[in-house]
Amino acid sequence: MTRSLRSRLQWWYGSILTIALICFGSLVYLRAQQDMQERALRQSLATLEDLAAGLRAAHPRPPREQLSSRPRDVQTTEAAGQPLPAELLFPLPPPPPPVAPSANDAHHHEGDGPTRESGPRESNGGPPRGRPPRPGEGGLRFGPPPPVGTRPRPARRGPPDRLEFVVWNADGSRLMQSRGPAAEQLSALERPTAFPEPRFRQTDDALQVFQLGPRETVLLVHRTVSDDRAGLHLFGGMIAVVGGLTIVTAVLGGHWIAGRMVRPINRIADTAATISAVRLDQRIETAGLETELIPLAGVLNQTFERLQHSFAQLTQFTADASHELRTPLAVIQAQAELALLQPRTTEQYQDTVKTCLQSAERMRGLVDALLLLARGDAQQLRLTLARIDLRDVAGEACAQLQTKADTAGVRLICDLPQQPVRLQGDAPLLGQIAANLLSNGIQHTPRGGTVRILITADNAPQMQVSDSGCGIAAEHLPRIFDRFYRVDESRGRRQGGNGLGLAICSRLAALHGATIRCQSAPGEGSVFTVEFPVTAESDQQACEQREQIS
Amino acid sequence: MKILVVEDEPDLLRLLAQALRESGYAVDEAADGEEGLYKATVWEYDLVILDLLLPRLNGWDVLQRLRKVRRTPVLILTARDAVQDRVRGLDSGADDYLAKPYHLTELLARVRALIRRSAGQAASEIQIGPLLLDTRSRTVTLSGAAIQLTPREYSLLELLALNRGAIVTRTQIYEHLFEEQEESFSNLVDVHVSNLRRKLGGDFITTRRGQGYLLHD
Repeated sequence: MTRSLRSRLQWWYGSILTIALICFGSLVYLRAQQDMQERALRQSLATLEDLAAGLRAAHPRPPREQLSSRPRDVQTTEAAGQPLPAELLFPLPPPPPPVAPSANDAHHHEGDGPTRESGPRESNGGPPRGRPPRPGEGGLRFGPPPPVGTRPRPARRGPPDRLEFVVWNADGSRLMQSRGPAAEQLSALERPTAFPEPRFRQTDDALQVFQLGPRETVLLVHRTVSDDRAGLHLFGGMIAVVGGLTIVTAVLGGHWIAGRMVRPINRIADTAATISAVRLDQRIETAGLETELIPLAGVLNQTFERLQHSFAQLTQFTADASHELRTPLAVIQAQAELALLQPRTTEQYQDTVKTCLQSAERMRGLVDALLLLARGDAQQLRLTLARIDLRDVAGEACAQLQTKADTAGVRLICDLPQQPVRLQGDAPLLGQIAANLLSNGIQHTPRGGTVRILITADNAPQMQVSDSGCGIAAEHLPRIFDRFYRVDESRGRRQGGNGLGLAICSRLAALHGATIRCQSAPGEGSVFTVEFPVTAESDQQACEQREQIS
Repeated sequence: MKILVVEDEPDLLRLLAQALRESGYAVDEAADGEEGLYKATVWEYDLVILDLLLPRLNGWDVLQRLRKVRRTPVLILTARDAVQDRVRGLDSGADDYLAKPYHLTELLARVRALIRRSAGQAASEIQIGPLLLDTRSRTVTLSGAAIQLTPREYSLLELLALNRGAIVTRTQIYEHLFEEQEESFSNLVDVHVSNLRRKLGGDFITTRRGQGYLLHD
């Protein structure tokens, strides 16, 4: 099966619809079949009933006497002194030729067609044969029937004759038999043994119902069902055709609708496809989009937003990094070219080499910083964790930067507690944090100022570097840990900073699970605080410290 | 010829100034935008070499404010080499744009070209009668014979040659020949002029008492 959403949607939808339609059609068909059978049985039973009633009414005396005194005129039963219902009479075997046929007889002897159109049709809709006559009802008459022309029966419309019957006498001879299309079949039947109840027999094309009639007669009603079956089959066929057409229509409609539903998704895909590294400013149009798709488009747009931001940052970072690398390169190049312009003294050449060396050192520092950050970004920076004393880290950093502080005329204060402040950390990297913060403080503190590093373990291990420098304006505070961000463009550069110190501090602190923050106001100096996470050990240290103090 | 270099990178500033001085230019230095703008506005330089990323006042602002008062040629020398930066720099009124790192020889050639063009001189050689000045090699020949001049004497001659036919005032000569830190005595110009006259011979340079000097066309 294809992975297309549209095809799958249609496939499922079509399958479910087909199953539903098959169930529904089968149910309707079965119900119609049952109806047909019940109707045939009901009609047969009613006819049987009517037949028995007619017989009882027409033959108060034993049928044998009736038969023995049976008149030659079939239209009346002389023994009874009463005319039999015409309906019961016509199906009798044809009277002997000497009898002058009545109009009615003539009608019935004409052939199958007229026979089928006569009497039994009533049991199909009108009053059944043998029922007591109703006033004005043309179907049932006593006495001589009216002339053919006045008879209403031929005027009736309805399904062809399907009800036929046989009445046997007690001795097995036939009292009456209809002369419908199944007459031959019926003639072959033997009188069954006596039945107290109606019995059913289903033949290939008919339903036969038996009943014990008055004076040990046996009545049989033969109901042809082949027409009903044909009708049922036609009905079944219609259900199948209509069902099939419905499915085809639904699937085609579904195809169209699914296409329309999928179109916005395609549109989103098209827009997303046009968004590339060079065209990250495009966004998916959410106006007019389906409610269900708006979150998807929103999520995609947010992703593009982040991507664009990251790209912008990357571009800025690359530009900044190349700028930072280019400056010392320019110095080296200019210095070397200048030296070569004309012959120089030894001192001048020494100066040239010194300048080049300084620039190379500056580049190395920058490249080291960039590499450190890149490794941090790529999650490749592995901490060599050891149980260390934060006081040692701070002390070493102070010693390292003492010369720089002296040169800048800044007083460096190392404020360490009596008790060790132990934590799990990478000593060289933590040392770099301390050194960067101190160096940063010295750079931004005017001659005569103070830079102080303070280690505490009141709640959590903490390292704080404060300076009495120029401070940082509020608008710069959120960005000071960004790479190459400078509060004053190029000021840091002249003082030897490369714009990555605080970014590296932030990254290294994060690797230790520590947070770094800065409090500052212009003219009031800055305070950088690195707070390490509270561990069981540091908790214990804090307790010990408190106990000692109290 | 006097050039102002505005550059915040101390090493680069020092190197650039030294290279220009060795090429015979008088050089003034400025380490930030404000200082650079002040000097460029107050003094009449033959060229300003301007960095863009400057403390206090960035290069574009310096350029825009300078252009309101002076037409001094400006060469932008910066690490920003993106096309839009070059376009913005040139459109802000710069005469040339050079990205770092640069070749010193190329920078010096551009400096010469800019100074020459601002004086309305397209060729690098100036011919005045039998006198021929080659601004590229900074040499002077008189009727084919080379004349040895000190850098300062050559600069003076070039200044007069670029403004030939017009009076060059003593103030102009001071501004174009001497750096701000230099201790210049008021008679220093007269000494240089008399030396030039002695070396060139003839009466190329005329003195207009109370006004200045003139080099006849």
